[in-house]
Amino acid sequence: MKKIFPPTLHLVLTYAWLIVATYLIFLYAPQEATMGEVQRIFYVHASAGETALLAYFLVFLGSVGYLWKRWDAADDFAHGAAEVGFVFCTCVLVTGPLWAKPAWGIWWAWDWRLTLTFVLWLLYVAYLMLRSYVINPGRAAVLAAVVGIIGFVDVPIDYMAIRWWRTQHPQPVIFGGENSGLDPRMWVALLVTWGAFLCLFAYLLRQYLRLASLRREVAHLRRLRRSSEEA
Amino acid sequence: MCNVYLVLAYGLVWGIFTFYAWVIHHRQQRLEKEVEDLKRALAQQ
Repeated sequence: MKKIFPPTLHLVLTYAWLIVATYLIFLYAPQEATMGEVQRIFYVHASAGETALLAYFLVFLGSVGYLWKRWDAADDFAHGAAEVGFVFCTCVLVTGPLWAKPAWGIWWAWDWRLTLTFVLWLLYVAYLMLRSYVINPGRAAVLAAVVGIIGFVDVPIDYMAIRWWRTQHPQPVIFGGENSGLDPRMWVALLVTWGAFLCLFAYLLRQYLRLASLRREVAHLRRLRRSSEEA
Repeated sequence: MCNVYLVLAYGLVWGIFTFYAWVIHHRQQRLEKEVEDLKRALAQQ
């Protein structure tokens, strides 16, 4: 992977993709009729939201892989997806209120979608806190994997919340059925932005996996050093 | 006219991503240095 698609090339591609996305958001996509300029928050808000949900799905897959086969790679993958997913989920919770205030007149409402997204963020926090505070690494990995699997229940409900219940949050514009569509130029801007976010997510996850492999190398070298000192 | 909510939203999003990328890079550098130090110490033993 490193030889076929080196990290530097991945970073350059991510930057280029983000620049194109920014151009499309601000100069190509039309201004929304009722909300005006502030609606352009939608492109980063929705893209970060979909990426955060996908990230938790990856946490779930990694957690299942670890509990089933005890693969360290699956544990690293789940941990990395949780850390990067947490960053994206934080972006959702930051941009949401900044869009809600001018659009609805309030920063926050405890409706289904907003509450379940906040629960998702808390699940990420719980996962990462377990990794940090449980001293035994094996035990921390098992406990975090259990949180990763049980917490996944939140993801499909969060995704479907605006389809199942009429809430403060707008009805879906992505796969939302008839009359829920966007202007074609808005679609282009949204899809390119989401693609750029997925590319960024993959880059950050890759960097996390490099970090995890360095951690394991340090642990291995420390053990070697201790045993050679004892000998 | 520039919308303050729009500027804040995009500023914070790029700020959060940049900060996280910096943190992960910093952690990598620290561990790479530790690997080098440990390898050097083992070679000297």
